[in-house]
Amino acid sequence: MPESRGSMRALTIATAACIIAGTMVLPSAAADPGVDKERILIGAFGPLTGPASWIGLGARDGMQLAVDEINANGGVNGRKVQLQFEGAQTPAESIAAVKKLVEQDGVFALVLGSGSTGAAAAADYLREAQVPSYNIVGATPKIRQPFSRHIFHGVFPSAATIAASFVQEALRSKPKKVAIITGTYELPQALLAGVEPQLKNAGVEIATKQSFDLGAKDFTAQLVEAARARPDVILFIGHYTEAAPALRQAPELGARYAQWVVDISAISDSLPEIAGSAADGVRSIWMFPYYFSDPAPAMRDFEGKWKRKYGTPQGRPNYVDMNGYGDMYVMTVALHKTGAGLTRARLVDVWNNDMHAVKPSDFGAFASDVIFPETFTPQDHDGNKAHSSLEVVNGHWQVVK
Amino acid sequence: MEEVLQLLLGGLKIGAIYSLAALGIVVIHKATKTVNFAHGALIMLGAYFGFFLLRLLGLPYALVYLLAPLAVGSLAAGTEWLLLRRLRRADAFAVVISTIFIALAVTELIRVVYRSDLLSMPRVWSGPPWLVGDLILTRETLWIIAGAFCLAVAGASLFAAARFGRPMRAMASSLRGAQLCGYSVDGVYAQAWFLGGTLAGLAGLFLAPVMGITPELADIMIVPAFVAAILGGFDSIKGAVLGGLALGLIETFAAAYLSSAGKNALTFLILLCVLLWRPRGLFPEYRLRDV
Repeated sequence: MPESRGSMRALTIATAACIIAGTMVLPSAAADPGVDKERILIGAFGPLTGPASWIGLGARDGMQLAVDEINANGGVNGRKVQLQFEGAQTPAESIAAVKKLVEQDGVFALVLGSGSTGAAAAADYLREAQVPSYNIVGATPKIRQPFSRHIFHGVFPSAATIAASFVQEALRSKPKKVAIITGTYELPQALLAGVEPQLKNAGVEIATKQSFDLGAKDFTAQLVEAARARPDVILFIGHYTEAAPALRQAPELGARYAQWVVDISAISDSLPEIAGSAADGVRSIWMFPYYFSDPAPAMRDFEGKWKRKYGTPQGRPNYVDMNGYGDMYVMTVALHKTGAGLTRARLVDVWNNDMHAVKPSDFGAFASDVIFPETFTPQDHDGNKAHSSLEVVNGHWQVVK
Repeated sequence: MEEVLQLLLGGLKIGAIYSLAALGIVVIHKATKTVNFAHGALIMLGAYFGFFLLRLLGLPYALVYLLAPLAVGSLAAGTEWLLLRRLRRADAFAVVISTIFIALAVTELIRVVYRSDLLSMPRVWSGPPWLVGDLILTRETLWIIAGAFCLAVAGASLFAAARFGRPMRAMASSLRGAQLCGYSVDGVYAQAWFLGGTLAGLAGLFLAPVMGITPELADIMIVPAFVAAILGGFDSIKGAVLGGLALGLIETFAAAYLSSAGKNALTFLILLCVLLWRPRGLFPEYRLRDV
């Protein structure tokens, strides 16, 4: 009898071990959420209201335009792409949106259409959740470090790369002294952290550094100080909703004689419209090969498609529309290369190892190549590092080189 | 010295707009005893109506300056007639809350139609600026200072001296007395809201080319409008005009010689001092004597 009790105990232990081993194996054998035979669910978030809504609206509308085109041309390996975009204005809302998309809606992959503020807020969660994520318009270093195999970056390179390009543009005027007027929120601060040391390394004196809050409309304090410093160049780091009133005020406060260089988020047709002649000669850097109304076929094609779908609201399409459109195609190329057996792990592998000089037309000739080709390596997930130079000439932005 | 003069011009420019905005609040309060927290939304509507008439319908600026404020005035009068009239016998708190929620509803409705895109309107008067030594006087600055100030004075005169304002003056003086004189409360209240709304619409029109047009204009303008009204005297028509100019100058000089944050702190500190030591404002309508 003791022998049978011993063998019963051994059998019980063996059974328990099998069950435990089975539960450890089972999750990885289950299908990834957000993908079935017919569709791939892509989640995205960004601000749809408030002073930064131009970012979220551009990302959503640009991505949706690409999704509609992709689905109209057969989808990805026989599956339709479905985009689910959540509005998120504040850091807390960004985290809530991401959690909802991942845990409740079960998306297959994520696109961060929020800019730096939302990307920084969601960064830690995304690293932990290991959902393939594509940050298309956030330059903040917080989404890039610590490095994650699952997070990729589109048109917008890191703040350090943008800062280097920005400083390069400013140095074209060979300044001895610069004044910096910068926003207190995420992206301007991230850019400032890169700009300051590079200016110092170039031997340029920072005569004054002034700051303003998100959505500021009166720049008397900042411009008076800047004018007092008599700089050769004024670097303005902030949105066009702030740059436009600042430029408009600048001549009256004696701050327009200097060369103004604004950062990319200040680029919009609304800037020369509101600032008037004060905008002429303002320069910036541009992360795209073409500006709006460029006669290049790809740009004409994109603008035509966008306006047929969304009409002609003022200031749209903006660059985030181009960004969302182009990067949605880059993600789609990755999905396509992954093949029919689509899993998150395989998508991440493809994105790390098989995405070189990818452009929208790689998916189909119907796509418009309005972004620079993007390349990803296992060590470098910043897909784009190219830029062109822009200047306001007679009230219109033009690519100058 | 040029810097001081330049700042003086900037202060008068924004101060003239504040005068228009504050006058609208004071007109409504004097005649109806209502504190209108929807005033910022009315200013925003003035900007959006102007954009619609100028950009989308292609009307000339002269017509826009006539029609947009009248449209806002009519909307304000309609709001009083349809919504606030029913709350006249209610608690004052209920009326205040109603105006706050009307402001929120209007702002969100605009956001639904126009989203938060930054819209622009061209300058009324463009051309090269005048240079007096190192002093730069742009045509826009001159237009806003002269235009907004003159319209504010005209609005004040309309209420304080013209026949048009007589019913409102009567109502401000004594509700019962005005009724006994045959004035209709409903009619006079609608008239006051019409005038207040028109002044708000004008403030929005002057502001639009300077700041651009977004739904945030409602929030940006409501605080300075109230602060200017309180500074000048919440029951004083001339106080609203002078309070607006004073606030514009205080803000501009504080921003230049302190900082942006210092500007806000100083403004509210001055407001607090006024409320503590001269609660009737710096330019009250009447002087009180102890007898």
